[in-house]
Amino acid sequence: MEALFLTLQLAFFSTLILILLATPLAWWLAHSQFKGKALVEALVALPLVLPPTVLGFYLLIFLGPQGPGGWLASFWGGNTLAFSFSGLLIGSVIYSLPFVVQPLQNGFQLIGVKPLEVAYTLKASFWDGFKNVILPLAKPAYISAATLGFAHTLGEFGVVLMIGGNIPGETQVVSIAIFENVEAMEFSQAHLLSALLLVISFTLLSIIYKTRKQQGAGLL
Amino acid sequence: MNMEKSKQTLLDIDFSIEKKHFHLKAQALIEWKKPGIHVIFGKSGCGKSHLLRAIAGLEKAQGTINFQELSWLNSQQGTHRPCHQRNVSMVFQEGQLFSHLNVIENLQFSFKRSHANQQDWQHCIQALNLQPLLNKSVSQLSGGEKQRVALGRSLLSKPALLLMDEPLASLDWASKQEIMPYIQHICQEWSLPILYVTHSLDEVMQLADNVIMLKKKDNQSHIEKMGPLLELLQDVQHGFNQSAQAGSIINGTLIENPNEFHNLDRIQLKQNILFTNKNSGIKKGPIRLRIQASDVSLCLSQPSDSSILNILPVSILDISPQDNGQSLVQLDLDGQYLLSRISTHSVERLNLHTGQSVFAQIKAVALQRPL
Repeated sequence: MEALFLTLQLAFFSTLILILLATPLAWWLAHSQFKGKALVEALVALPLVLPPTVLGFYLLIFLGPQGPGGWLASFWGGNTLAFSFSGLLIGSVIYSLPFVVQPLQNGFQLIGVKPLEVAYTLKASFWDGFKNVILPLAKPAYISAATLGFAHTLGEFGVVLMIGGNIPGETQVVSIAIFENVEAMEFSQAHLLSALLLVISFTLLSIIYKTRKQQGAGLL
Repeated sequence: MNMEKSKQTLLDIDFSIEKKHFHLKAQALIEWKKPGIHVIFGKSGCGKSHLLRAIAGLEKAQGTINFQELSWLNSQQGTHRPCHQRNVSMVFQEGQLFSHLNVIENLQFSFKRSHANQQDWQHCIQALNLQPLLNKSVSQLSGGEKQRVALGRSLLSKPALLLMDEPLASLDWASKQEIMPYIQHICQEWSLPILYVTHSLDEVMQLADNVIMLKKKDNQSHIEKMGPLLELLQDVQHGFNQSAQAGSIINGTLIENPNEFHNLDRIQLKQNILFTNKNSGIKKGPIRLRIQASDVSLCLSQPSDSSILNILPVSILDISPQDNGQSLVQLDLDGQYLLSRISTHSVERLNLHTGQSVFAQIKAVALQRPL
């Protein structure tokens, strides 16, 4: 059960960071005329197609003692961010980025700039308009983005295996724990965890499709 | 509100807008001596909306914009006052109400951010007859109702200048007729200078006090002419002779109709009388009418078995064939111009020629407004 708690914690914080990060990024992607935008979009979408091991490999190097992660860790006396909860968090954020950015980007594109322009002509500044017009209008997009980000982080395996290892209470998430249970022939434990993950994921996806249906749009 | 002290408003623009396939140069001193409607007018795609959006501060432009004593734009000095600090308000096509708010919340959005007081609120609700709509959601409103709410929302932000970008373009004829008197009323009642963009001849005729005509040639747009509508009437109409909107303006007098004869209005021309459907709210007296060229057909003798009410004697002044197999026939009706559009085939079949006396059958007459 420690693994389950850890997984939920990881998914929660990843989603929180992702929403904060993806909001400006998605807004920019939705409205910028910048020529190199396609490259940025491709970069954001990479985790969709890359094998998690590739991502995990680069992250391992990035977070390890020779990379910026190791340098960062040296500030509090460590020598690596790999095999730690914060390393796992960074990995999850990158791994789930497209699942949060894309619904938000679609949402912002669907809303367009018109409502914001209307707000300007009614004496609202950008922040006023963004907070009181765009955010409420984008609520369904935020619900899908958050749920998708959360659910996708729950299902993470390859990246965690590469950069997190398997430290109970620190980096051992449910997907890894199940793998380990099966290896050790502890089927009842694996059954329990699998069923839990299945139910949670199914519930989350149902929420997405429910909100999406009201919006009349597809999943991503 | 302050009808007594009608103040002068000055908008001095001199800027250009560069788009990929399009260049707009706008230089004009737009002046409201009293509250009124300046209509920016031109064909689709000539940059009318860009012009308005640049004035609002929603679009990039190079040059200067001065409103009263304030500089809104001076690209050389790097001044660009953002839209929300220009004290303008804009009514967009289809209203653009916020769909996450209901009617009253839409109005409050603007009310909260302006200096409007409780009295303005009451006045606005009353003037636009918004009371029955207040608790409805935006999706429950008809097109015309949406525009009324949008107009109210703009009023409540107490702008020094009201911009309207094709506000009636997506409405049907009946809703247009319903909204236009509100716009005129608002303009006078709130002594509000209005800059109004449209490509519809009807709206120009009915609303404009002054006209700013935009012209596009080889992807270059500029202000061709501007001035009071009455002086530019011929120019305004001329631009439309080729289009489906071609028509003519007739001046007449709305006269008393004994016993409300079949619910029709009677308009006295010099010798003839025109009938139109009853228009409530227009007072007896001099009046301007618009008759679409496509609503006027010609016959050689006066038919006695036609269902058409208005069959008047006219003489042919000119016949000009157009590219689409149609001809535009200019007629003299009691000393006023009347345009008729008929097929070139009919011109030949009836052997029509200049100077000939014929009868014009007029299917519909749109009452415009008191002169």
